[in-house]
Amino acid sequence: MDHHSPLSLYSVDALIILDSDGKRILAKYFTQEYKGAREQNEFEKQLFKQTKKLNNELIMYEGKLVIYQNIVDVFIYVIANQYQNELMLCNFMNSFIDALNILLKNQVEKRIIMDNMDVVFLAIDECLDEGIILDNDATQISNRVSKKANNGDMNISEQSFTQAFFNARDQIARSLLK
Amino acid sequence: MMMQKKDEDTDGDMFQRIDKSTVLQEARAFNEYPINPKKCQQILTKILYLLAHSEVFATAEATETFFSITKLFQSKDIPLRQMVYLTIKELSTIAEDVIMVTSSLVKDINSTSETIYRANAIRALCKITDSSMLQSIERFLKQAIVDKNPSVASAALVSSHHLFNKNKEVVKRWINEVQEAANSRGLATQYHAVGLMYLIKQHDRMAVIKMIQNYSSGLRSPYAYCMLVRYIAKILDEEDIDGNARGLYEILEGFLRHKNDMIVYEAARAICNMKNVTSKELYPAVSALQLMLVNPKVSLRFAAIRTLNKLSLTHPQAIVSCNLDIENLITDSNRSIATFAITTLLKTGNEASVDRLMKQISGFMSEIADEFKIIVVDAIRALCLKFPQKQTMMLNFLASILRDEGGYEYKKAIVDAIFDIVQSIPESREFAFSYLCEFIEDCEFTKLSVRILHLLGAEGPEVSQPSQYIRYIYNRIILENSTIRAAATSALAKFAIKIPELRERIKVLLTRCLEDVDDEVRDRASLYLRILDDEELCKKYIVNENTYSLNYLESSLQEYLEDEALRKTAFDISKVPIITKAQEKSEQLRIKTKTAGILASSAMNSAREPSPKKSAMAESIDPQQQYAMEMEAIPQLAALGKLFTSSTLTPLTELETEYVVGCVKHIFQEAIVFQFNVRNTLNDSVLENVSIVMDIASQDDENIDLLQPLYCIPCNQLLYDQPEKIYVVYKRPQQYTPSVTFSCLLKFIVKDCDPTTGEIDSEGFEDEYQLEDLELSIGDYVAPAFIINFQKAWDEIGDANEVVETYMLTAATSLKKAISSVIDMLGMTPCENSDIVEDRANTHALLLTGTFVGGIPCIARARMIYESSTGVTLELTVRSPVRAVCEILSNAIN
Repeated sequence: MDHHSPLSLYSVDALIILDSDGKRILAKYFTQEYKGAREQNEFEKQLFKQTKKLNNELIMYEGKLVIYQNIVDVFIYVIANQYQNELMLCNFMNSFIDALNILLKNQVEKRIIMDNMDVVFLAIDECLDEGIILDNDATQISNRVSKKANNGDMNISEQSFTQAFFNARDQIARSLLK
Repeated sequence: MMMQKKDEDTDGDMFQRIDKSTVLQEARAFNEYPINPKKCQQILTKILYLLAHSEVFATAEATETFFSITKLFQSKDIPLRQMVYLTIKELSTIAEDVIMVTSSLVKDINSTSETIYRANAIRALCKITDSSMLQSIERFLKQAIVDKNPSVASAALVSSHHLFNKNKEVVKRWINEVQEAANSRGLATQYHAVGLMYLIKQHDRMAVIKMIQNYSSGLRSPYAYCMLVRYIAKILDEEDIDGNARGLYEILEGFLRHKNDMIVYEAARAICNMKNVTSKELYPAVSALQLMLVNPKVSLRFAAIRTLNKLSLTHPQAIVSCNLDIENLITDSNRSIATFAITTLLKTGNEASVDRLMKQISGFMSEIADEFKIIVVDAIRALCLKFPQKQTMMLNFLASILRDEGGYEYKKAIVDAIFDIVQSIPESREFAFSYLCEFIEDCEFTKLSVRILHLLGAEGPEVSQPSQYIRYIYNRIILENSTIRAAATSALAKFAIKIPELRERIKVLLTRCLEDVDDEVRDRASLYLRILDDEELCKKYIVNENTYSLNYLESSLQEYLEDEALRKTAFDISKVPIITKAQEKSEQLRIKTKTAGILASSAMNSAREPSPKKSAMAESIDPQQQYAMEMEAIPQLAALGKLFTSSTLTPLTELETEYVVGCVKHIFQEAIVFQFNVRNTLNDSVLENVSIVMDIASQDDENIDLLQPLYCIPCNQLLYDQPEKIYVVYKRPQQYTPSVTFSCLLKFIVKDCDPTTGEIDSEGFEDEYQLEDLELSIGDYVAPAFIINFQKAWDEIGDANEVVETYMLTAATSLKKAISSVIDMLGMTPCENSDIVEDRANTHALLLTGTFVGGIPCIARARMIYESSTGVTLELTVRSPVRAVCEILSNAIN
């Protein structure tokens, strides 16, 4: 069964992240429809033109279902065949963004994504496999993405004092509420 | 912002100056020892980044990098390992010999310690495995599918889903494991298990129904429920109405009350898409969607209106109850929702609401993209044809948007709409022409100007004050490019020919055209001046209501140009059939209405294919024409003469077998050709000398010896997945039309073949394959015929040879079934939509026409009465100029 049958599990045709100028941050195409770099570029350019002004969440574009969200200076798109269930895809989109929020500490924006490209790549790999939705549980997805290499740079000293403070406050509050 | 301060300079713009060759250089670090995980991970990220930006890697580059990456398996670093898997997957489609890493991956899958990356290893392993290697890893996959860790199970299930296309047989063996996985505690795992289970069982209808019944409650994953709904929809789509379907519909209806919107929506959508859905069945689905229309969530409103919009094409009445809610959506901030709302209302609205609606649309047109505008224009066109009284307002609206900015496709849609209105509502002509004249004054699209000028020329002379258009047309001759000037010249001349009072004045204008710089314009001007000088010619020109059949003319001209021998003589136009202009118009209208439905549904969806018309046109090419062309290419078959009629494709095997065979029956004047379409679905074998052995299995005719097998045209070689055709030819005396059942046997020499290299073994052995029996029935001898007025044709043939027979169709459980089986048995074409019957009706008259082999027209009336106790009683009356045909047809029911 191919990507176009609503009966197969293949549900996502592409996942694209663009910046506020419409330039590609990264893109994964799962169908053969947009083969060359040129077609893909053109598609993204037009898509951005259609979506940059209004944060509509969903549109039909070129016969495709497009689910998108604009967060700070990035645009995240999920492209799917029109036979797909938009509510299912919105649900998936939200889980993906939630997972990114967990992994990037609520800082989903271009510079942080660029700095943590490996994390974003792994997150996509953990929720989409060749267009099949692998998981739609944000915590699960983020748990499966291991943080930076062991000698890496995401240790506690990296957190600012305020952030540490907020974390501590949260934890105390939680233990009190129990 | 706080993160990674110290890396800001290195990391932050690590992709700014990224360059493939530098990255490939850096990749040498993978070979260093000890491994620096952080550095390697960064390089891998860069490689992935390049791939995600469509950078092209040459095979050699990719292979080299791929193998240096395998060195990283020595590191125990978990994040690095995950990146390694990901990069392996990405490179596996470009690099060569990727199966070399199999053992490293298998080791990771079998690692005893519960590591997070087992799931990743499974997915990577399946990605690099080719179908022939699948057996060797089968054991691991089966284990993984039932693994208690949901991510591992999901990884295995999803990978099997990918592998299913490559090697169905092996994956099918895992059905027990898959069934076990469907009870997994992981929600996503349930979804994947259900999806794979369906893939395995999809061609076994009973198994699918059982699976649906099993899982219609008790699953926890909403995604899995959505898939179940789709499977139900698929079964309902294939099934005639019977007990099963009723039960399945009830399951769907039950889902409408589910607490999860996603499932409710999927079920509602499935019900709306059901064919032959009744208004009673639709009601709960539409109510569910109506609730979504007022939901604050954009996605729900979008989903609901998108589905209702589609439904409005087929069942506008069912949606009327939602009209008020839909009207509120016109002002929705999501423009897609607003467009869907408008076009839905245009379909469902009544005459009273049209005015209000049009006002709202005017304000909205400037805000939406061209592709949406086209949809709106199309809807308005349909509406105008529905409510002719509103044409003034509609034309005003179309004229005003014609003045606005817009691309060619958009303007074309508007002009098309105006043309259609002019054609069907003659009163609108004058009004419409004045708008069109205004438009060509300032039109940037040559094609549109030419079409408008042609229309003005053809219809302009017939309105009350035709002289008013002359000025507009002549202005084009002064100001425009040569194509438009030529069109304008013709248009002017038509005014002169049809209106003698204007003739002298227009002649002056045409004489000026003789000086034109373009030869086409000069030629046309002199041609028309010549006609105008001769009163006789003018009359002839006006009276001439005939034209050539353009489709036929085109194909015969093409044939003429391709054939060297033909080209030696002049093209013979007398062979091209002549049709009246009225006929041509009605034919065009027929194609238009036929494609309109397709267009409307695809317009929203296929802006990508710029001309959906084209694909619709391709479809309208008769399959019979296609067959005839194919057979003409084979000398033996070409000698049989002209093809009379072809049946539809009858499958002779299941779809999932080793060899898939279907048969089309072609009737010739004195022969029958059985065309077998054969496909080999085994990638490790090749068939040679493939032929079909047909034997008469049963017949009820003592003259059956008259049917003589002539020859079989075998297929020399049948490669994997490359369908071929085999023909078996029988000789048949002209008047002889037996019904026969044939047994069919596929005979061949089978040879092994390497699926990867395509190398074929020299040794093979003979084998046979039994196909299902093939029936040749009376219906196969009847070609479809179309008539418009049944009663007239019925009376014309008269009752001289009429035969009336009465039958009891005890097997038919409804009128619908009886109708479709009568049509099948007689092979005739239903007229005047008489094949459609209301659900509750107990009596029905089916009107049929056809052409019996030998070109004998036949016409039939089938009156039916349905009673639940006895089934359907059928009275069949057949008329034809030939008595024998009436008898054969009236006896064709069994």
